[in-house]
Amino acid sequence: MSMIDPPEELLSAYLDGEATDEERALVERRLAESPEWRAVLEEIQETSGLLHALPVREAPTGFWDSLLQPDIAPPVRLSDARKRRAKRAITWLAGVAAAAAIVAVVMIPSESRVKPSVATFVSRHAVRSSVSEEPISQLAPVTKPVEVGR
Amino acid sequence: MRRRFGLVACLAIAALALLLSSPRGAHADDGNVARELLERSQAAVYDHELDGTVTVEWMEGGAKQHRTVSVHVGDGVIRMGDDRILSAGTRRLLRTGRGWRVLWGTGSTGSEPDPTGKYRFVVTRVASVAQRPATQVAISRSGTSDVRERMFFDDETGMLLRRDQLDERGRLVHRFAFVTMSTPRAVEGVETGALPKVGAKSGRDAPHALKEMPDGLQAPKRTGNGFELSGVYSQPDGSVQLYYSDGLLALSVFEREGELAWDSLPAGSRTVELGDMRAKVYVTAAGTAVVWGSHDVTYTCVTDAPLDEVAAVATDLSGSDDSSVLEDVGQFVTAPFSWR
Repeated sequence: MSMIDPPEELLSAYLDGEATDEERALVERRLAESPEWRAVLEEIQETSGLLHALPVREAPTGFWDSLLQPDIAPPVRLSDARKRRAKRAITWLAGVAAAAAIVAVVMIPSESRVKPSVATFVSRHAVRSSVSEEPISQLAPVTKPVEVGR
Repeated sequence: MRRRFGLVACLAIAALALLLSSPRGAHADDGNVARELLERSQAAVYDHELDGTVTVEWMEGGAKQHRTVSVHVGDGVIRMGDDRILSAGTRRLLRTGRGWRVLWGTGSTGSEPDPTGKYRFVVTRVASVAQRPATQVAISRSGTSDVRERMFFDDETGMLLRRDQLDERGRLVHRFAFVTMSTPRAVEGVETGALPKVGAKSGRDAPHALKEMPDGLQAPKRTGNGFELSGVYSQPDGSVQLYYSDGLLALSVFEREGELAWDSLPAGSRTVELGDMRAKVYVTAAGTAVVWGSHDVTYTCVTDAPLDEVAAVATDLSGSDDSSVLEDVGQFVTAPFSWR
């Protein structure tokens, strides 16, 4: 493990509370010493906050059944070989559709629960204010990561 | 742009000279002088070279907090916090462990209202701030005598040297101040120096101006007590940022369609009532954040304005007709969070 480049996996584990006691002590020591480690930790925190802000939506009732129903096959009589090819194609399409649905469910924001990233919003307001107000007074509070809920 | 500010600077100096040559400390028309000082301070720093240190003090969790930040200005670029943040024109960059990231890149900012209608300004000369001769602007809401802000401007450069924000009882709740500053050297017609390169992805992730609001969200042109919409920006997480100003103070409302997940909010907030709505309040170094939900929209308002201003905005945006809580919110938040 490089002691120069902050290891993102270790920092992620630290943030998620999955690091061992030894790893946690190491991370905290490095965070205290290294601005670079703190910067990477902040970036991971922000990314994590954005991902957590994406709400999870349950698939509607019958969604999976409708995806996998075999009655979408063409209603013409085919030879056995063509039937097998068509079946494989349908299976493949269903797989792609299922994968797309999973991506959609996980990644596309829905109207359900919203988790606002308060610290990020505070920083973004300060940055916007620095454009139309006096810049140093607006940016000074956000030169270090904004902490909320101390 | 520079010519405009040069003109503003000349006007400000002339007006200030007239004002200070009077035997009285303050004029009835201090609003115009104050407005010119405010405008001048926005760009004055870029026309100088200097090194300095600023401090930010605020109350959080019942205790006084502070942070000290280094500032270097040269080649039209402000470098702050050991070069962690760069500011040049309308560009704002952040240095991270993986290179530079664009915090702000759009030049699209709307006009802002004249603050002299809402506020009363009193301009006086003071001995010095950060060992430099300065002019103080004391600001109160029109029709009241309670000073809520004091701003101190450098007589020579026009830079903002200190800003104190007071609560409704006159207690200090937030301060920005230069504590050290090298002698500023004026630079004529400075060209902005080269900024570090950033990745294309970073540029795409930066907020950008929106011309239309997404369905289900609203962006009133005016809200609260005299705040006017100055810009609407998309955010990487899908939120929309509405930026309002009353000419002196600013507030951002981050809107996102969907029910607020109360259980996912960070700890350490205070719960307040906004009319018939519940809200969480966080105090930070950069201002106050208030989070609430209404009609399947989640709102986060961030501002350095007093909490009664936020409550007026909240009731506006949420369609509530009950503004009786505004006072409760302000008192609740500021009472334990001030110092002399």
